Amino acid sequence: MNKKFENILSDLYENDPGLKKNEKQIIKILERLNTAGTRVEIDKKFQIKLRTELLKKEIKTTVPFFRKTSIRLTLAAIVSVAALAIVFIPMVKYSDMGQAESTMEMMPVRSEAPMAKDGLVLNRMSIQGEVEPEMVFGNTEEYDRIHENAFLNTIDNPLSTFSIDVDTASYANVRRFLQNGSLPYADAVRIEEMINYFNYSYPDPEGDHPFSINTEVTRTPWNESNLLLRIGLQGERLSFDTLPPNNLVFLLDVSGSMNDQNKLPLLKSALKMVVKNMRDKDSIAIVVYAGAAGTVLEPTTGENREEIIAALDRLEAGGSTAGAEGIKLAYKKAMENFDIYSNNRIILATDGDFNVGVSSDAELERLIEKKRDSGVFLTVLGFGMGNYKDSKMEIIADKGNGNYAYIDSILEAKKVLVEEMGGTFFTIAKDVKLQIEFNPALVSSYRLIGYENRMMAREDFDDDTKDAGELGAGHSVTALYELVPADGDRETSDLKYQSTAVKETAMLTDELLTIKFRYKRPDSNVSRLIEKVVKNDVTDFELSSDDTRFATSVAQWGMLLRDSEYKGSTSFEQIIETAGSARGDDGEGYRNEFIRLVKLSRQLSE
Amino acid sequence: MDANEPFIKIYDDFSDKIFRFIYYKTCHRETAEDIMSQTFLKAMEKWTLYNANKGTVSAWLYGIARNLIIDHYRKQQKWGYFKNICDIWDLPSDEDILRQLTEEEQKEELYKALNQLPSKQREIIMLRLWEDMPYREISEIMSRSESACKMLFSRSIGKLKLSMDSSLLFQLLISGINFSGGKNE
Repeated sequence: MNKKFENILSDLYENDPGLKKNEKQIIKILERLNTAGTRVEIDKKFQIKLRTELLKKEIKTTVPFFRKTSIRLTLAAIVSVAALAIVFIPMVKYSDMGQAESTMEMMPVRSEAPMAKDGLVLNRMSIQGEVEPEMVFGNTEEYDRIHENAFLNTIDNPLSTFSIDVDTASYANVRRFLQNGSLPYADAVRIEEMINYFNYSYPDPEGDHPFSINTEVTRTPWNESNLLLRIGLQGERLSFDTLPPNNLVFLLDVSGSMNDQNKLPLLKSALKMVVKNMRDKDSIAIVVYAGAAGTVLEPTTGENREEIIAALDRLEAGGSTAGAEGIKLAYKKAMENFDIYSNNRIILATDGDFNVGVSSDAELERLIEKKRDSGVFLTVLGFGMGNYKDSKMEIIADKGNGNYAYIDSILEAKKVLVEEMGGTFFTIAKDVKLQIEFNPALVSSYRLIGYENRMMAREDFDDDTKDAGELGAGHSVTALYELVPADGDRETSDLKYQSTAVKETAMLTDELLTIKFRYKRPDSNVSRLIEKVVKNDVTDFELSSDDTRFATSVAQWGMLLRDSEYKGSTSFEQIIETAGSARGDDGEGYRNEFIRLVKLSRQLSE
Repeated sequence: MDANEPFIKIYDDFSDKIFRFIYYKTCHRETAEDIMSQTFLKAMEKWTLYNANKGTVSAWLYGIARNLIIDHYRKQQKWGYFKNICDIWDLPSDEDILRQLTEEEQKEELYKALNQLPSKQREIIMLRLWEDMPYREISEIMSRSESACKMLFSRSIGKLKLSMDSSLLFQLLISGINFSGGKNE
């Protein structure tokens, strides 16, 4: 027996002589414990890297002010704690809840992601410090809970207001789930992002406005008695050569958590594609953040693209995630090189795991909101899995005048960064809002499918200070409403103090609804208004356009995956059939891929 | 730069230990690296506040790390997050499969038993056995007396023994049979 065990044993017997008669067992336990604990060593590379970081950091050598006055402060603290106690004691009495629980109540509702099939880790595998081992799963992904839009009565709610959403992340993320052999979490399925992942062949805009508006009304395939309204927006398709110069800042997360194959290495190859496609007049700077934020490459133009590629090649992952510092530094760099005639944009690539500095979502939100007014736009690219913070990234993109895509493969990188580069990088209209007024004589209630986190108050539509989504060059946005037709009777709402009656003119017209759009030019702070009337012309679903049918089948799939209470008679078979007949000109094969994924999900849900 | 030297010396002396401490408590390399970076960055920030009269540097560092780990779990709990995959027990790939299997089975017992211990008891096993730390040092880190630490350790082992008794007996029996079987041949 070695010296270490001898010492340990003698200490043990000193305290509990009774153990001595079980010496054999005790030694066995110690041996096993010992072998279990000797396998972990620090990654030397990481250790050296952190050391270098610490060496570079400025250490504070002066004693901070409050140390000198600590006695005074302690006294003040005691007084204020006492005062607080007086205020809070009566409140505490009413509640037995611990502090953690009560703070939780004030937080937005998060859904607990059910465990992924491949991510299950048995309890036995954890030795944790602070929590009991019951909730041990191999997954730390986060999604905001989606409360599906419900049917609203047109008499009480004649207006429906929402912001556009050009993000596509949800579709790519759902695809990743399926390809890994599990169905996605319900809250990872954002139907509008799935619909908007695809390109639609809406006509180009004509005239003054940067986008065209297209509508179609059909019967609802999952509920024959209802109508389906499809609204399509098509942003100007601009040729690459005519686009203004890019002033891009790559803000890259190189923290330890980015070390996986599907993160940093994928990120590097993705960004190299951007660099290879850049023009001489474009410039790129690179800022990274890990334990600390730093500039890796000062703004460099396309003439020196080898330099940019070399800088990308040098990146390595390690350290923690000072995300907020990185964001600040990136905005600073973008401002240094700011040119009003350029496309000033930060491209943030991360798995979203910020845990140093500004760490609460709310604080991060405020930071981004503050930076938004600088005129710098933001694109968020999500990477990786297992520790993926979807909710946080969507907030960042949403608050920062930006868009958000999930990159799960080099093919997706090509779609987002090369094929749809115009849409990803160039904003043609900002704060795009829609408000729909329904004619209660023809529509009794309505439901917007998706866009749950884009809903706005009716007053916000005309309020130019209220932020909304951005439309990129060539982007299309599609929204679907399910409408319950009115039975023709004059409906009124009669409350105790007021009553609402439908106007005579509404009874006579065949206008189903009116859509109002507001948007701002990218460099303007004043919105412009467009109005479009939609008549009560209903096409049979089978005879409607490919785009309408395809968008509808994507929405239906989303409802199935979410197990929506509004899915009606939707089935996988029907989706496959509809989508199959609505592929249109599917040059890149995305609609075909959709059908494959539907089939895969059907298999997984059996 | 020179001002950093004493702090870097501390980093060189303690980074391995602090890393393992965090790793054993989080069971996830990246998380441990993240928390370790935070620990040293925080320590650096608060360097001027460190008071040698109040305790050793190691106790101070472990204290910072422990708080960050608690924060980490609290944050996860609050949001209903889930834990990272624990790969601490991965065996080196060159081990033969049979041995691996028996080891896996034995470990299962051990982990079950370890998980039933309160966190302080797990911590002391980690420090005493895995880190081979003298009680003097452990007592500083855990801020309790040496004798209290010794007591805590023997309690933990006693508890482990209790919960592992049945399986151990079984194994002793099996190994006894094998042994006598070998003799007969």
